[in-house]
Amino acid sequence: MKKSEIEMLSSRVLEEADRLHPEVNKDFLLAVIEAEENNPQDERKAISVIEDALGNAMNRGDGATNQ
Amino acid sequence: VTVLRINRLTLQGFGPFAETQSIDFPSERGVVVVYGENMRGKTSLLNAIRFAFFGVVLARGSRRRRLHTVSNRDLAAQGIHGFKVSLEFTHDSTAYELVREAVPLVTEPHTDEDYKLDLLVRQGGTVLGPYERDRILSVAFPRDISRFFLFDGELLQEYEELLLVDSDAGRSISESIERILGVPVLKRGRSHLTLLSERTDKEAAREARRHQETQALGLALQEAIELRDNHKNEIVRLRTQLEHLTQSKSEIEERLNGSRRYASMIADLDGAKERQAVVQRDLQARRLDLQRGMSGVWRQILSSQAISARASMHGQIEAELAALKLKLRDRAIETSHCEVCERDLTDMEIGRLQPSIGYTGTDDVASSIAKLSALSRFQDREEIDQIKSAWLAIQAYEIENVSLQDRINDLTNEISESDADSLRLAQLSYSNVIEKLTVTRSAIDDEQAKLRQIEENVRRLRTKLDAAAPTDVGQSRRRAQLLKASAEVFSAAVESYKNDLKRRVESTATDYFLRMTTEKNDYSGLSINDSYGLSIMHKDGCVEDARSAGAEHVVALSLMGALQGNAPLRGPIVMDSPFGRLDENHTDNVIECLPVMAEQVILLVYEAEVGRSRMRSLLSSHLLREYELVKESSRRTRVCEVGRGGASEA
Repeated sequence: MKKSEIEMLSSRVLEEADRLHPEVNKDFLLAVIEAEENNPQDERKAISVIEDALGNAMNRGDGATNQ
Repeated sequence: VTVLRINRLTLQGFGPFAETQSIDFPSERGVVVVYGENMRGKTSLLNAIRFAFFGVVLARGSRRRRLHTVSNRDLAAQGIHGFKVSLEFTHDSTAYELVREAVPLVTEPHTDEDYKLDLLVRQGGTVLGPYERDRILSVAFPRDISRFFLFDGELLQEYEELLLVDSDAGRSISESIERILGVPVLKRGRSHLTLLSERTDKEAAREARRHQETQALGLALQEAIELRDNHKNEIVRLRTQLEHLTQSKSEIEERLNGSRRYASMIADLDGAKERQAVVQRDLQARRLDLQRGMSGVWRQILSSQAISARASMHGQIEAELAALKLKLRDRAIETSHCEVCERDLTDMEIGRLQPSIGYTGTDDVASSIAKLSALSRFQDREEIDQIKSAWLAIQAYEIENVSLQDRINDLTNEISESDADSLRLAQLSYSNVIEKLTVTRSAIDDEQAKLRQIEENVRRLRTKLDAAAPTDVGQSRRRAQLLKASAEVFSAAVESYKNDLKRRVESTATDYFLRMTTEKNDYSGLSINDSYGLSIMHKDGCVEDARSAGAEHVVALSLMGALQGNAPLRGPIVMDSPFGRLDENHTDNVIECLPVMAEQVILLVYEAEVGRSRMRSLLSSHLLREYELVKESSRRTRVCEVGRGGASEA
C-alpha cells in the first residue's frame, strides 16, 4: 500500500476518533494501522505489535488517552 | 506510481508454446498488443501469468484446468511432460524474478498429484526464503484481487451479479473489491482491537474476583463473558458451516450446469441422428436418380456425331417426303384414283396433274422418322440437368452426412464422459443444501440476537465494576475501555471509508463510462449500490433497466478502471479477447480509453476484433509494442514481434 493511501486511512481513523472518542491516544490508533499494514498475512504478529503499542500508550504519563 | 509491473514473460512447454518463448514489456506507460487467431495461445499467455503467481490455470467458467492438460501436446506425445513459466516483475521499484515449474513425478502424468510445483523468487540474484517469497507474492499480487487484473470477456460478465441482492457470486466479488480498495486494513484493525478488548475484559473479571468488594461482580462478568464466548464460537461454527454449504451449493450448481449441458448434448445428439437419417434417405434417393440418369449418359459422348446425323436424317426425310408426293401423283395419273382422297379422278383433274420424272427414293419414311427421334435423345437437356442436379445434391448430402457423423461422434464421446447418475444425484442434493443454508442463516441470526443481549449484560456489569473497582482493576478496565473505544473508532472508519470509496469509484467509473459509451447524449453516468454494482443512469434521472450485453461489458470495464484508479495496489491489466460483445464504435472508445485506465495494459486480441492499422491509429503513441502468435502447427505457436513492416522473431 502506498504512503498516500496509508495517510488516507489514517486521516479517516483520526477523523472518526475526534468525532466519537477524542480521548483516545492518536499515536496508538496510528500504530494499529501500521501493525495491520505491515502484517497482512500474520495475524499473531499484528496482534502482538498492537499489544506492544497498547503497553506503550498505557505506560506513558497520560495513560492511554489524550486527556 | 505503478506498484506492480510485468517486465518479461518466458514460457516453456506451456500450452502451444513448446520451445522457450519470451515476451518483453516496455517500461513506459502504454499498451502492448498480442495478436493471435483462435487456438494460437492468447488465453495460455493470460494463464501463464496466473500460473506464475498462483500456481493455477483456469478453463472456461473459472474451473481449474488439470496440469497434465496444460503441457504442450507435441512434447507430451514425445514423452516430455511438465512446463515452466518465468515472470520478471517490479514491485515498488524492486525487481524480482518469479519462476514456477510443474515437474512431472511419473512418466505419464494424468492427475495434478503426478506433478510437483517448484517455486522460486529471486531478488537481485538472491533466492528468497519461503517466508519472504510468500510475503512478497501475497503483497505484490494477492490472488483474491487478481480478477481485476487478469480477465476475459467471460469474467467481465460476472459483474452483473453485483446488481443482484443476495447473490453469492456478487458477495464474493464485493469482498474482493473491498480487498483491492484497502478496506481490510481497517477491518483487521477493528477485529484485533475487539479481540484484545475481550481478552482484557476477562482479565478484569479475574482480577475483580480476587477482591472481596468486587468478587460477585467479577464472577457475574466472568460468566457473562464465557456465555458470550460460547455464542461467538457458535456463530463462528455456523459461519464455517455456511461457507461450506455455500461452497457445496456452487459445486452442485456447476454440476447442474453440467447436467443442463448433458441434457442439451442428448438433445443435440438426437437431433443430429434424426437429421442424419433424413440425409441418408435423401442421399440414397438421389443416388438412384443419378444411377438412372447415368444409364443413358453414354449418349452425351456421341452428341456431336448425333447432331450431324440428325441434320443428315432431316435432309433424307425431306427428300423421301418429296419423292413420296411424286409417287402418289404418278400413281393417281396411272390409275385415275387418288390414294390420299380415296376417290376416282375426273379427266380434267388428271389433266391438271403434270407428269413427273418418277419416284426414285425408298419407301421407308417411317423408319427415317424413327431414327430421327432416336437421334434426338442424344440432346436431351432436361436429362443432363437432372443428372447434374442429382450429382450436386449427392455431394451436399455427403458433406452434411460426414459433418453430422463427426458431430455424433463428438457428442457420443462427451456424453460417455458425463456421469448421468451423479448428475441426477446432484439435482436431488441441491434442494437439501438450499434448505440447510436457510436453516443455518436463521440460526446465525438467532445467535446474533442472543449475543447482543449478552453484550449488553457485559456492558452493564463493566459499568458497575468500573464504579466499584479498586486501582489495579481500574487499570485493566482502562485498557479495556481504550481497546473498546479504539474498536468503535475503527468500525466507524470502515463504514465512512467504504462510503467514501464508493463515491470515488462511482465518480471515476462514470468518467470512464461516459468516455466509452456511444450513448453520451442519453446517459448521465453510473450509480453505485452497496455491493459496488453499477447502474446506468439516464439523463431523465431514471435507471436504465434494459442493458444490452455490450452495455454490461462497458459498465464492467468502467468498474475495472475505477478500481485501478482508486486502489492502493495498482498493477497491469491483462485483457483476453475483451471486445467480443462490443460493436465497432464501443470497441474504438474502449481502446482509446485503455492507456488512461492503467499504467500497463496487455491486450490479447484476434485481428477480427480489431485490425492492426485500426489499433495503431486508435492507440497512436500509447501503443508500445506489438506481438503476433504465429502458427507453426496446430500444437505449436511461435511469438514474433511485429514491426511496422511485419513480424520478426521475438
